[in-house]
Amino acid sequence: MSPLLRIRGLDLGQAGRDLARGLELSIHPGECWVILGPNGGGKTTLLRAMAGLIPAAAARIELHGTSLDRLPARRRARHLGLVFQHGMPGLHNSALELVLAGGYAGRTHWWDTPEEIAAARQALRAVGLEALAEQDSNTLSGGELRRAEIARLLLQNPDLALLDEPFNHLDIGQQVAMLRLLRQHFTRDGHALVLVAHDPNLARQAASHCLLLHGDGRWQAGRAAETATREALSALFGHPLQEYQGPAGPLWGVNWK
Amino acid sequence: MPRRRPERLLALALGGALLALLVSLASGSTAIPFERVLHLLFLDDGSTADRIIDQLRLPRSLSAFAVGGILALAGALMQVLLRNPLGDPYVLGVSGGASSAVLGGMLAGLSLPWLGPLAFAGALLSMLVVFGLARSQDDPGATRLLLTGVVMAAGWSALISLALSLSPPMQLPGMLFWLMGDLSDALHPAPLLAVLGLGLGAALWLAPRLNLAAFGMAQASVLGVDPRRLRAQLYFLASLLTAAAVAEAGAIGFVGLVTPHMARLLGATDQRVLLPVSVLLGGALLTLADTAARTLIAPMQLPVGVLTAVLGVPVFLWLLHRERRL
Repeated sequence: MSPLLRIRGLDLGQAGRDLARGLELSIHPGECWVILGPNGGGKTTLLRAMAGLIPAAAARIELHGTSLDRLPARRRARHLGLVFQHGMPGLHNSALELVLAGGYAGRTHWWDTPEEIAAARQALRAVGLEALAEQDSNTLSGGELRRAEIARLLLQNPDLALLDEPFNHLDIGQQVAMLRLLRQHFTRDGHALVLVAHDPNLARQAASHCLLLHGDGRWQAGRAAETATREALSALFGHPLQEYQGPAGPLWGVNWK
Repeated sequence: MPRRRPERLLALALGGALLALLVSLASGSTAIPFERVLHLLFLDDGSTADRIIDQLRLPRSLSAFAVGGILALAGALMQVLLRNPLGDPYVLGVSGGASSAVLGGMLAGLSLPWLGPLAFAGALLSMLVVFGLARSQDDPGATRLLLTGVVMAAGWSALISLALSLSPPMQLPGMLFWLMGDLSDALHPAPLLAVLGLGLGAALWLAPRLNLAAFGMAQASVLGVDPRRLRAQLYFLASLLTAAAVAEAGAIGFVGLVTPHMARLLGATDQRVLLPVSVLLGGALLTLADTAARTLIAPMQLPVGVLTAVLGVPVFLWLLHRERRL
């Protein structure tokens, strides 16, 4: 199967610092990748590069076999979507209008069709925000805004969904609900999912594949079971992880004392 | 804020615009009743009132409407570009750039056809400096932006003073009136209305992308908008609109600032509705302001820019106060 997204020999840097040297990555349909690494390790930068937002990196990244620097924004948006770590609620729009923006790349009409509006409401329902559809999106809480952005991603329906720390404003119940929703939608029918996260258990339980970014140029990528081992993650974060027995298998944690 | 259906909002704004035009046609040294104005618009009877309306008031009212609409559109576009409600061609020094270029051209003895392109060049230069500096962050803070605009406006104002001090005394009163924003010589509305129509058409074509720009240019890019192209299109369009308004009527401030805000208060949030509603309200606003300017101390006339500034400054300060990001 040909990869959805392919990175060839990418040197990623930020402000003169080497973040990843010679990065090679292939993301295939059906995969769920979790990117882990220390703060400032280049996770966000890599995600922005994968979305085509870093011109210097675009030539090294291919989406469906086409180099990102030769892909117009609108065509790119049909295949690739990104939820930012710090999303903007917009200026004066409702939550529904925020979600409708996800339909732009596939839109053929100047005005929204009733079908599009129905699809946007459906997406809001999927994240449990249908009651807030008409509310000014500037009045949403951090977690509600994040869920509205996930709804927008659902409406955009790209093949490859990138999310930068999507769970950091969500309560535990919503974290699980959103992860299930994302996996259900983006790990089948030719889709793939990439999450930047901080929780090592997420890598172990939800990911099929893992990328570890050390932030000094070193990186490891591969199947989650082989890449996200306790030893590798302890080295990655510079802190030993303990293994605990949970009802659904072993879990990792740290000793806070 | 109330959300109205787009058709009702547009109808409301259109009604306001027509009413403003009617008031403006009826008012002046010779008051003409509304029903007679309507009658004379469609039937020529050769009377004095007919000639006043056809040759004096109608061209001037339509010019005022067009300039007001153009300024409102330019302001609305700048506010999207900056994701900030304080965008206005006058406040940000774009009008100043156009005025300076035109004055410089007049001093250099250039003929009239050159003044339009000169105004455009001056406006575009200002846009590039102000917006280029503010752009270094994805979400420019109002402080940085306003400071850049104010400094540019001060610089242009110094150049304008220089040009005025060098110009022949005979020309001074005319130049000063034009600088303050004056519509008393604006009797050829057709080119302005054409600019307004084309500008609104282009803006409506861009409107779906402008809606996305509200989420920041990076997010808009991920959703399918080419940010560099959209920025270039907005720079070009806003400069062209500002230049057309300035070349015809001098620097009239605050219409571009206040009108999109009024449109939002009425419930227009989607750019596809906000832009046409702003144009109609801006046209109505300047038509009424110009009517006041030519009737308040008749037979003398006030420069309308003075009136809009007197009304606009308090509104600007109120908006600034509301802006929490400062």
